[in-house]
Amino acid sequence: MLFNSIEFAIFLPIVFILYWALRKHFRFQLYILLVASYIFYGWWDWRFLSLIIFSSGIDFLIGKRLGTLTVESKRKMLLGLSLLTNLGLLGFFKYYNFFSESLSEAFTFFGKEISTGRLNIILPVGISFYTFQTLSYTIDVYRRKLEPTNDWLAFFGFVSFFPQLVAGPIERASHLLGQFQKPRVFEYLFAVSGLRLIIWGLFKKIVIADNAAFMVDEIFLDYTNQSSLSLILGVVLFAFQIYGDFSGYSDIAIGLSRIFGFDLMLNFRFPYLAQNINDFWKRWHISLSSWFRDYVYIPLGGSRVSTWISFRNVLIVFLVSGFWHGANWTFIIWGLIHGILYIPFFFMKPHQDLHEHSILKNLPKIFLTFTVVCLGWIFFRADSVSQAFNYIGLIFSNEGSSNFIFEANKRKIILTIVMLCIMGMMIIEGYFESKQKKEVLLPSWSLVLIVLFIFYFGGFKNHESFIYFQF
Amino acid sequence: MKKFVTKSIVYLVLTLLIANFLAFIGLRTLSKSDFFKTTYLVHHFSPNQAFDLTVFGSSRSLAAIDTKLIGEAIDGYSVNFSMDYTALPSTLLMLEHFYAQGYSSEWVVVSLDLPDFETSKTIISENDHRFLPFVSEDYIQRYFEKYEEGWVKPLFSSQYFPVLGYAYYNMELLPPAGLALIKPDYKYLFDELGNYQYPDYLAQEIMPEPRFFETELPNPILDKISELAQKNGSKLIIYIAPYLRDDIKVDNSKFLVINHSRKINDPKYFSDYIHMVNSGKKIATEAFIEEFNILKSSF
Repeated sequence: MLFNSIEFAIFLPIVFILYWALRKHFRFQLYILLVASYIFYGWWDWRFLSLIIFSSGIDFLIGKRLGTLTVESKRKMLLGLSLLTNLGLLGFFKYYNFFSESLSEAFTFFGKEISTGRLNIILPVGISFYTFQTLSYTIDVYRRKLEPTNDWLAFFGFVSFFPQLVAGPIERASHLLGQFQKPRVFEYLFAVSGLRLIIWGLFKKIVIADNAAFMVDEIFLDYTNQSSLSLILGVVLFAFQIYGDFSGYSDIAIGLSRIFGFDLMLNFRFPYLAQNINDFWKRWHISLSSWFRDYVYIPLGGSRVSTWISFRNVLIVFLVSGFWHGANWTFIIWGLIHGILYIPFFFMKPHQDLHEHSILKNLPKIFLTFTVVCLGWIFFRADSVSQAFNYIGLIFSNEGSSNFIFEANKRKIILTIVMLCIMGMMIIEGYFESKQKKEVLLPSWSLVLIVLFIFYFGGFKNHESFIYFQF
Repeated sequence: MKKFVTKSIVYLVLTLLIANFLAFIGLRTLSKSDFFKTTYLVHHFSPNQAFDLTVFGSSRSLAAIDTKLIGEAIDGYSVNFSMDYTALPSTLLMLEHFYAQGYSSEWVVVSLDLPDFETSKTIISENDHRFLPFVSEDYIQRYFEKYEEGWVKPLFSSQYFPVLGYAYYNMELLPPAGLALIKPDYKYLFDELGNYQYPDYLAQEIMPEPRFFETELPNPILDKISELAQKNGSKLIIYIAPYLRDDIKVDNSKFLVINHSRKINDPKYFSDYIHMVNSGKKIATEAFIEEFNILKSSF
């Protein structure tokens, strides 16, 4: 079920009413949430519900056992079992074909032909997200940073919580699980802030991302014939498409959680106002970068080791992060680019607070950061590494003569609307950034305008699924 | 909680009211303009207008028939009501729309394309939203209900909530409504007589082997068109415009057919396999007039 669908517009009020009608019976509330979450997920493909239930069950049992065991070797074995099960499922569904094809290509490169069968595997929506969420629980329990829970209902609810089930934020058990274990009280201001975030998220998704999507798709499809201007527009629009799409989803997820009395972690903090790549990664997909920091970077030694080992650790994290996004070399190169760009800033001690100067004064830095982020997006969006390099080459050579957007009046109108909306969004984000706020919370009257804006300028006909569902 | 629900409902109702009101105004503005063929048909002509020959169809009849030339040749009033990106069900709807205004036409030419010879798909055509300003009409509601897919049916539901269709087709309807407000007589890609000059891009493809089709034109929509024309005192001609490669033989058809599928087959007269350039349009229209005159004299 998509957040921007009619089905969800019917589903949400029903769940909301049932949920709060049972506010005096918080166990029943959990049942409602669990059933609602499974309906939400099963709407896409009910067969894959078994995967979530299986993952939840394994980690719940392993967590309980880890709580009682004291022998380290046995505890390690249990952790290994959890990692093997979760990463095994993720690996099979997401990476099997990639590895089998890469192996076959490697053999061909060395002059040997081997046949590795390609399987027709459907990638279960959100598997990367809930796998990481449930893994964080087992790892934290293993590290004795978290008490294992005996409450299966709360645990299953935590793994499958519908607002963030399929595209995050990737929550930690230490933050979210506890909220499932205690009664929730309806807080008016908290719920209102949630509603405001939902509307802002819908605006970013439906008006900016969905309208940009169809232009981006066409430009990337016919990139060899497009002019430099068209190619540059394609990548800039993609930068805002993916931002509107993914941060829009996160805003809706956080907002929905709030109206159910849950507090989710921040996932985006105005990333296109970042002044360097280091700053960008403190603002973009925060729940994933902090996950990798805590469960990959720090266990590898973090920055407490020699400079070269730290250097290696940073690169590993970025490469793994790229690979997490998809089974394609394009994502790995994307991760590598960010890793390489990140390292110089990582080793530089911050001399100044990045937020002490106004945005206008830092515009050149912001623009430069955005430009290099766009370079990375070309690899992220391209179907293959060679396509990405060709795309970049064509930007500079200006060989193409087509201008997809400027060849039809309708597209020019959509471009104008999208660009105006992007400017509006950036101004609003800049305003909230200057006020040291972490999220956009607009006044109620302006929300009416934004909803009208969504109706009249939203890309309903070009309605697209959320990009991060595929990860 | 109560305050939250109450305020949310108040804001929601307020927003929906404003949105529906704006959509209603937008549709009304369009309906009072010449912007689309559907609105031009209603707005441009005097009530009970009588035509001598009218053409209904898709982009192929726009690219092949020039009603200015026809009007001059037959010394009568001829208008092309064809609309691009549409199929035969939309042509039937346009004809219903035409008769619903109280108009009459001595001759009605329905241009037929290959995909509609045997049967037509039950899907909405790309430009059917242009009928939305008249969604209060029964025949348009019936059409949207039958042809729209999914259970939301934004066009059909627009009779109750105009914002649904308007939001779904916002980029197709909002800018036209804005323009129609300023210039109600502006016609989008057609002239006073409904004709449109396509840009003269010549066919680039290598001409393939001709494809041959034989048909009796059994599509039931053609029967409905025939019935409708007859009921309104019009004589119906089914017209098959020239194709660059397709050779169509119509056998034992119960309709009066002008089949020009292979009348012109020089690539220089085509912009692609199915559409003619303006020089081709002139020749195709002259050929049509010639055959029409023969048909007319037999009545």
